[in-house]
Amino acid sequence: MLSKLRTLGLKGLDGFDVAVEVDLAAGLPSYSVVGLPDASIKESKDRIVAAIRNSGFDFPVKRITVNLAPAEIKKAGTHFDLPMALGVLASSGKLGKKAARVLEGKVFIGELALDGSLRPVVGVLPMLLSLRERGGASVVVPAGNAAEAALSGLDCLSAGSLKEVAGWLAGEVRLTPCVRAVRAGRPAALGDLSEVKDQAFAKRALEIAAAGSHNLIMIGPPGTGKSMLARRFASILPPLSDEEALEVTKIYSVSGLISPSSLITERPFREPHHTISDAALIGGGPHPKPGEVSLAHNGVLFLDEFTEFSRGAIESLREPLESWKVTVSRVKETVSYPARCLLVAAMNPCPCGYFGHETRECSCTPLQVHKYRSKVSGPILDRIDLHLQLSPIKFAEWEALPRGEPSAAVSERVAAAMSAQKARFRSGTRANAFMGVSEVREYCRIPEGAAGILETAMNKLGFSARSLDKILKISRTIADLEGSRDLKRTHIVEAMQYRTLDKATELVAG
Amino acid sequence: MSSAKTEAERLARVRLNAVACMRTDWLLRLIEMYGGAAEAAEKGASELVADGGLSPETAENFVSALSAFDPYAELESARRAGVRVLTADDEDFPELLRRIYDPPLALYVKGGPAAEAVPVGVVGTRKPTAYGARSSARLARELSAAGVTVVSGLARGVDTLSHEAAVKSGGTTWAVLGSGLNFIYPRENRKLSENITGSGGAVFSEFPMNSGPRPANFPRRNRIISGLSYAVVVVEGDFRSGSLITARAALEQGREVLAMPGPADSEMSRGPNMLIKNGAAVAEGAADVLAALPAEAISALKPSGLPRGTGKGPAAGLRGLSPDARAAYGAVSGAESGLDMDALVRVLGWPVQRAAAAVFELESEAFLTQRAGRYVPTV
Repeated sequence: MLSKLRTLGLKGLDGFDVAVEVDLAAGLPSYSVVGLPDASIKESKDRIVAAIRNSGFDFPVKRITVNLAPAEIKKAGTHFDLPMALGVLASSGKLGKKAARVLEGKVFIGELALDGSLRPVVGVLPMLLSLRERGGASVVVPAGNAAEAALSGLDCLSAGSLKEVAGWLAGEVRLTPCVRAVRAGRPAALGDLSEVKDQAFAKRALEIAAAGSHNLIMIGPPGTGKSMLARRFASILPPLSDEEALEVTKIYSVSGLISPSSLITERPFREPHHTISDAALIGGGPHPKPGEVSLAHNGVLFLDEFTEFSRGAIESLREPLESWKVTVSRVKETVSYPARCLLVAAMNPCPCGYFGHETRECSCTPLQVHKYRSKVSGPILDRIDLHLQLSPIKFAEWEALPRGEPSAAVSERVAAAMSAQKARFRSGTRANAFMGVSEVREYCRIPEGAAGILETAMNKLGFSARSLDKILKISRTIADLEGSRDLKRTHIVEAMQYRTLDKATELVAG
Repeated sequence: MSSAKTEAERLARVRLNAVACMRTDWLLRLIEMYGGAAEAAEKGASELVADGGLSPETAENFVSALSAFDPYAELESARRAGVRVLTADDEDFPELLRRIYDPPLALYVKGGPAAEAVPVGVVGTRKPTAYGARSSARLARELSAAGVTVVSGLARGVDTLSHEAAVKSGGTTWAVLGSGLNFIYPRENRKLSENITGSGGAVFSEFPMNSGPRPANFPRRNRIISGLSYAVVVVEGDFRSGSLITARAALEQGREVLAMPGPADSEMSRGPNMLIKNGAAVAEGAADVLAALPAEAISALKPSGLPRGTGKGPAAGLRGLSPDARAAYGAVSGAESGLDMDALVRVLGWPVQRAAAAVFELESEAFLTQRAGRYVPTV
């Protein structure tokens, strides 16, 4: 006897429909799954057999064939357990006559434990969101995924075990509808900017970076507050919008990083260690998973000890920094994940860390310093707009300093500057950092009375020609923060302070 | 001497010069003893042991090194690099250097040392403090303006700053290397060496074209810096500094030694301040140096005019600036090792934008430079 039911598959962040067909025939007892299942599906047989027995049913001694259609798309994941087990039960007539009708058109997702209970699975939210785009259906998910499933806006039911689902199909039990968890207020970030005393210039640079989506690199000896500043960076970005929160939650759902299955409302802050592999940084694996750049989507990617990352890893950042997504290609499939993150990199000024230090002597030769810096030169540095150089703070001074401005206040200015950009570019995702040449010409007109200013920058301050466009883009953000429609001379002059690595004199120790 | 004989003598000197295991004064003694370099170069090991008093081992090494060296290839390599090879008999061999006790047998020169130059050595540490950097550049600038040729070693730090300041202010400057002229060291100064020869200066070495910068070369190089010069000024250096070797060589050669006094609490002042304690003349600026030069040198000077700000300090130029810029300059120059933007904003209590405008004004008028993230007064 044949039974058919529905479930979903996942390719990247997109879900697709999968029909589960189970056929029971007379013959030598066997169990085979066809339709390009991966190892996680093939080994589900043992879970299914045990779960069915431990739920009080007999496992049919028949020749069982399970087909996952469309058969040409690869499938992976443990959430096929539940629909396959139900298919086996339905085909063997264990669920009663009524059940076959109820099964029709329903979507089942869930992993089985050996005792027949349902375990939560990864990727529920993106699968259901795709399903909703295609028209929706009623869905049954494990209880552990209930809150996450509710985010999709579909009518979902949650169940705790195979037995419960079987009872529901027989009309004996009611399943709990999934309800959305109440959205919490803004969760505490990794600290507040007010904890950073002094360093007004550094905080200003962070504000500009946040407002114009400019990537930032911090250079300074150990103990100058690079990590402290970076960890507080996410706190000055405006809160995630509902749409953004859903995007982030989708990615975390696929990665299995979701906390008790509810919406992520905090801007992601990712801080991978410098020994990370290329694949872990940008995404990959046999069934490509999102990397750190995607996990930092709509948030901040902090790469401390930037020069210690492998050259391959640094170079692989080029695509996401440019196109805001990562495409991982395999022979059989190509997956792409969103990766719109702000990059905050930090590095020492030289291998020993004390180049240009006020009191400690640097033990590096100029050649070593040059080589060290050239690790980040070229294409990647080209995608980093702001350079911030930090000096150590004397503890004696630090004690006496007052607390700084709280993140919330800075965040408001950043939000205002962002909406100014939204109005200008007529799109929510464009920012000053991504202006093309023609846009720079249009929106960054050099004010009258400041005509020679860029020439002075080149000839007297030693800026390279390619840094001039960057200076103008930063100026635009400074003007936006001020609520000014036109660029002013002071904006451009300030912007030059954030491009110090371009200066010809930079590598000479004082 | 016939020209063929002269040529043979020249080749022999180039060969002898290339043998690294022998000191120059020993070689000169051998040449004198055998009546010429060509003769000295033909001797076998046993003769050198018998006549020259060398140990058999040294003599063996000497003879085998000598026969391994190809002077024709060496001269061809020099010719291709545009380098002249001078020996003491050449007219162009620098007169002052000829007078020292152990002038190099061969001197490789790129660029043209003018016979009428008035050379003065400016030497110091490879890791100057802000004070030392400022002072060496100022001294070189003032000396250049007075028509003096600044002689130094192209090393990092004081040497580089002195050469740079001399080239920038339109003076001529000579660099003496501790490696062959095909091997400019340190590498980052290759461009500087081109600028030196391009602006009427010269680069010297006594080492064969392709020799590397062996540590033992540098003390020998130092005697040439002082040997080329009427006087040597030591700017900064601790007790172990190579610049003190140059100062000792200058004393042995009967040249004037001066020292730029430094802050008493700085490691880098110990060398020059010790020299002053031992009787070296104090060099606060070019005027002190000129006063120490012999009359023949003074009369040869062709001053090119005084550089901007000499004697008056930068204060005079500051008058044309905005009050903000002057305040910022005061803050930066008051700090021991300059200020970064964070510190500047804190010291002045201004918003970043205001401080940035002041700094921009100072930077475009060349009062401030940014180095490793900190603003320092321009040297």
